[in-house]
Amino acid sequence: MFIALLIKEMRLRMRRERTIWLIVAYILLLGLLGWMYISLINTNSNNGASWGSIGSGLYTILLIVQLFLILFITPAFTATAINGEKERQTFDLLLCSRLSSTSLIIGKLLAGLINALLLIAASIPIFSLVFFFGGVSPLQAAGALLLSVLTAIFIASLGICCSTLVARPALSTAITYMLILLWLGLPLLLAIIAPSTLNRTVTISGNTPTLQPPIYFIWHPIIAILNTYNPVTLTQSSQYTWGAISLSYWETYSILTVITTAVFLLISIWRVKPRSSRLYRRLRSQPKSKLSGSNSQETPASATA
Amino acid sequence: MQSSALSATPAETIEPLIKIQNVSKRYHTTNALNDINLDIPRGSIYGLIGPNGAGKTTLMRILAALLTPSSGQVWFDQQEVSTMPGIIQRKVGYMPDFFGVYPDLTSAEYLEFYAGIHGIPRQKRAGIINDLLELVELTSKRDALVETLSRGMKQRLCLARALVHDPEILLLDEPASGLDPRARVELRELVRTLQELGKTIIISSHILLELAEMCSDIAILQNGQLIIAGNVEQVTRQLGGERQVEIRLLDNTRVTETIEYLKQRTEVHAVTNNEDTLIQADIEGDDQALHQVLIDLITQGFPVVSFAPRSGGGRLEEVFLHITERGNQE
Repeated sequence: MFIALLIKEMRLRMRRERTIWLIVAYILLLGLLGWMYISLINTNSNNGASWGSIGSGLYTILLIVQLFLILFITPAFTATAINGEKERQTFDLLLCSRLSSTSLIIGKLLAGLINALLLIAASIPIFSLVFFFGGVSPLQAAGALLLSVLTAIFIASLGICCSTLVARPALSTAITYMLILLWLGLPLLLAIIAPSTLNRTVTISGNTPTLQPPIYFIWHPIIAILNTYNPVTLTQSSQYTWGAISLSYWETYSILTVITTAVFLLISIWRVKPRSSRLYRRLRSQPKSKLSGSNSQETPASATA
Repeated sequence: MQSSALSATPAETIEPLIKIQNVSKRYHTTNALNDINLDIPRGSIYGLIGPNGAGKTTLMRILAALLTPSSGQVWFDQQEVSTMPGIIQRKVGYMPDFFGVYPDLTSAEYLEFYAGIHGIPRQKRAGIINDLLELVELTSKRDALVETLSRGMKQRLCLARALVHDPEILLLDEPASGLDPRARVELRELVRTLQELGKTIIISSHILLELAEMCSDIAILQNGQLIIAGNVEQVTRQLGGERQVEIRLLDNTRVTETIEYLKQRTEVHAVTNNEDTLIQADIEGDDQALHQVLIDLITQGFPVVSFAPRSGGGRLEEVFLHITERGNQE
């Protein structure tokens, strides 16, 4: 059932020319940045930089740009998923069908995500340019890819949640972008306001004191994605320690992202159909079931063809 | 009133397909529906009539399970709806008073989408879509984008959409609004065809005439109250009471005398004489009563040239206006 929803979403999307132009513009932008970086390095230091550091520098730039693009393109596809249907007056028709809330939300999520995933997939050839220079291992690249995908899913579910809770599409889009900006900017703001917290040393039992980034960076996509391959700036410590368990930044980030994604999706599924929850129906039908019992005795089932 | 539509109503009192029992719907402080009781017989074309804001759409949305009544129950086939989750989605096809289309899909894709979300298996969809497009005469527009269709075509496409899962009951909310006369006639034909296919059709309108000619039963709503409901004939009889008759005389010599005579009779009300030789009178009772008035006029020697009761539809419309006016004054 939700495949039908997915096919419909894809048809609607692909039929709009802007989807194709978005992919083209995206690839061109990434390619251009990469090319600029390489030519800059080449002219500035003819023999200073090794090929490996060029590779990892290029990779860092591409990764951060890609992350930002995902963060700001995905909401455009999902932040109006539900209230857009309401505005187009097609939402009631979806409710009249046998589509469940879960299929509706998951179908919308996947449809919105396919765009983001398409962008990520289309950028793989440009990223493979990095391997040409070296400096990044395939495993590290896979980790970064995983983080990109998780972030895309998280942002998509945030968008869907907003579109479920807020009635007007323009407002829900604005709220989604505001939340993303806060999510990205608040830790930076804290770091600027209180720079002393940046250099916090933590002594883990028995070990030598290590530098740990402040706790408010625990769920920050850029820190996490840089942590997947540890460029020079972040090498002091790559672990958060919780008692006996110690997790790297990107692992912590992944776990937090998965949990919040699940929460957003559950809220969306719960709220998308007003008062259709099973609990509500049971509460309502209880006093009635007695009534209906007595009624059906009064009117014995007459033969109905 | 079409006798063919009337004959489709079952004569015996069998259990109604839909039973609406004490249904009320409140929004905050306003009562959208107030204690509505309705029996909708199987196979009927049931008209819901009322001015804008009377509660027709609210009632339709309750029947389509888009709203839950604040109190009261709805029964389908003697089963209470809230005890049977999903029953409405399977049995009811709802066409709202707006189109609700995706402009970038073709007609066939549009129907395929709804077939899909109604859980119709993939291999059956193509056949159903072809049949539906043929039924609503849109086969030639199969691969046209929905946004290129005319208003009447969109309306028919939406009707096809409401039929995609072969529902027993069809809810049409203001289907004729905004259609040109030709599209209206086509819609009426389509509704009749669907009735012949065994569907029970509930149709709403704020224009009584639109419905009077095709419905077997009607209910009149006003400010969330049910004013009257039943078979078209019963409703007319109950409400009717009076019929306006135009009596034309040969010349104006005995006009005042005739008016005096008519005013004496108990079954005659509101005698007016606007034109020279034309008298209008409201006469209470059935055809037999009219007949008796005519016989008496002639035996009394009044020079009657014509004696013409106004046609049924117009009469019903007048009654409707009369009732809703009275409702507004209260």
